[in-house]
Amino acid sequence: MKHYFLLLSAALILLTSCGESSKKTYTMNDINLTAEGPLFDGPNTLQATHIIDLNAIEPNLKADQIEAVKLIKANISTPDSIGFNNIRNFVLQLTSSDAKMEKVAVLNPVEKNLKEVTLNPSAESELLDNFQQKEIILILDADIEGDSENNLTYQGNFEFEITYKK
Amino acid sequence: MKSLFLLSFIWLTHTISFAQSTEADQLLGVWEPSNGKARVKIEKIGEKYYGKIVWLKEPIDPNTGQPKVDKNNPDASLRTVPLKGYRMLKDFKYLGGNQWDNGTIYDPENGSTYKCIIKMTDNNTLDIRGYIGVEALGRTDVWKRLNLKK
Repeated sequence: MKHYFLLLSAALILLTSCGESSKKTYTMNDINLTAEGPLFDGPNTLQATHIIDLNAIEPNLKADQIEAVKLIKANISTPDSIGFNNIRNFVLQLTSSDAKMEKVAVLNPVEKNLKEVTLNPSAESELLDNFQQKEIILILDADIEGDSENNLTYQGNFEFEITYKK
Repeated sequence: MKSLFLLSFIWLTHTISFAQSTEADQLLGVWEPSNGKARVKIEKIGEKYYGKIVWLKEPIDPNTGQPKVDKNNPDASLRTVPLKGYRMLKDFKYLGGNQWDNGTIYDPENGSTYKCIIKMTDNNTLDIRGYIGVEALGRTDVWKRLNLKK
C-alpha cells in the first residue's frame, strides 16, 4: 500500500512538472510599417518584417516549447500632422514563409483627429505556427481616402501573450 | 577551368530560378470570378500569393447603408473587417506547371474557408477549385483576367 502511494505521488509530481506552462508577454516596439507610393484610393498594404527573439521570452527557449500565441494589443501611430484623417479602416495580418496568414486585428472605422489608434484584436486567431518561424511578416491594410504619390510609414507597437512549456 | 565551371553552374541555377519566379508571377494581376460580383487583385507577399477584393459590384449593404463588412465571419471579433480589401485567397505557393497550391479561399457569403488549388489554363483564365478534404470533392470556378494579356 505504501509503495503504491509513493509510486502515485512520484507519477503526479512527474506529470505536473512536465506539463507546467508559463505565460509571458512578447513585445514588438517601434515597428516601421511601410508602403511604397504611388498609393491609390482604397486598401493599401504596409509591410514590415520582424525576427523573433525567443530569448526575450525566456533564455534558451526553443520554438517547440511554445504552446499558444495570441495578439493582445496592437497600436498604430503616425507623426504626420494630418494623423489618420485620410484612413477609413485598418486590418492587421501576420504571416511567415511556412505558416498561414492570420488576420489578428481590425479597426473600422478609424476616428478622425487621432495620431494613435488601438486596433481590436481577434478573439480566436492563433499565432503558434507563425512564432515557430524565424521571421514574421506584419501586414497592415490601410484603406486610404484619395490617391497619393508618396510612400507611407506608420509605427506599430504590438503585444503578444506567449504560453510555453518550461 | 574549375572556376569557369563554377561560374557556369551559378549562372545556370540563377537563370532557372529567375525563369521559375517569372512563370509563378504570371498569376499577378486583377481577376474577375464568373459571377462578376467582385474583382480580386492577386499580389505576392514574401514567396506566397494572396488575392484581395479590390472592387465590388454592390459595395453597400442594403440593410445598413454602409460599406459591406465580413458579417458572416465565424470569429465574431472580426465581423467589422471590410469586404473591400479582404484577402479571400491566401498562402498560395507555385508548384510548377501553371499550378498554385497549399492555399485557401474564403467565401464571405457563408463565412467558410476551403482548401484551394489554382490552375492557369491560358494567360487570361484561371480554374479556381475550392474543396473540403479531397480535391475531387470540390467546385471549380473560372476567373478571367481583367486587363487581358496577349
